[in-house]
Amino acid sequence: MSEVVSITVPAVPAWNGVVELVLAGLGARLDLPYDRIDELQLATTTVLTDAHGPDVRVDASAGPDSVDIKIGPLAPGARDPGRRRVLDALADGVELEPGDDGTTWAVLTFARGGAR
Amino acid sequence: MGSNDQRALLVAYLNDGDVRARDRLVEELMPLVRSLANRYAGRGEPTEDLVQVGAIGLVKAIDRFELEKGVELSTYAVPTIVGEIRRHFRDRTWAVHVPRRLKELSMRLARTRDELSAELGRSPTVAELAAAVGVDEEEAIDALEASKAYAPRSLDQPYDEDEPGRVPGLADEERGYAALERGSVVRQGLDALDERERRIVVLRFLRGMSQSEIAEEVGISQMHVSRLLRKSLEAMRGRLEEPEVPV
Repeated sequence: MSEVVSITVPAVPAWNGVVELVLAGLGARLDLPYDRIDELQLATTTVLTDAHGPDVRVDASAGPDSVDIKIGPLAPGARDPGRRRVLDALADGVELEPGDDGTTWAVLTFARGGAR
Repeated sequence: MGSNDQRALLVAYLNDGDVRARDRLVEELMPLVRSLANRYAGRGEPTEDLVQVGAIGLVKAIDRFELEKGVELSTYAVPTIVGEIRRHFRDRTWAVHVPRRLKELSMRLARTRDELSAELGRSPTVAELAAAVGVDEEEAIDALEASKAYAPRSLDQPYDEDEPGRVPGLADEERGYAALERGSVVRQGLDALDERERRIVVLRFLRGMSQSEIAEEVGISQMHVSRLLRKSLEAMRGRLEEPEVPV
């Protein structure tokens, strides 16, 4: 069974801290190493930069072996190679899924082991 | 102005209460204040503010100067000026208001995080950190998150006066930068960073080193690496706003 925590916030950087706090709480419940929580937050806020407002939703699903963070909607074509490189280093998996209205959703996968 | 002239002004102020003499001394020693303030420039506080608090330190030093000690005023004043600048950083460099209790807890957690990492050979969990400092997990999370509001540069690592921003072993990273710059468009973002931040970004994102490995290599705490990474990514985001070739 996977547990899902969702949060929707206005797509402005001032709310990133609230998302980070939720992710820290989730990470603590899952007993993730603090490094891992930190990188999960870093990767998520990196993706939040591409949010295609007015709101952005973050769904965090905890499975037995991994945590998936789904973030969107994102501006179409907003991702660039530089940011992708950052995400690839932080997360174990980075997928982009099409959403409604030509928007994009990012799914970041983090293994529930130690920091990479 | 020679040291005899300075001494005459000190006598005039301290023995006779001549405030104009003190003003002259302040004026004379302001270049010293400026040079000390410049050592701490570029750390998120306006240099002019640092000069102002440094000047307060200078005035305090003049007020407390003891004529019979036989030392130069400039020698005597340096620790007071630097102390005032450091106090300013201590009081002011939290980007948001963080209660003192939380500041103290976050500092304890930062130390504990490094100690436990060394002891366990991995990054500790929030539960382990909370247990080690004797608080509950929510409190630990509060403090850990609050610590991110702290300006990232440590005052314990002042710039090298000869080579500002230079960190040991940097030359070894030249190839790393080159590869990163060749391989992606991060270059523009890297321009926004200072050398130490660039080094940490390269170690993390090019070499794939963990935060704890970087902390060990660079000789700073994990918390510090985390803060620098955040600050760097933030600075880089600012430079990466232009549309890029889609992946």
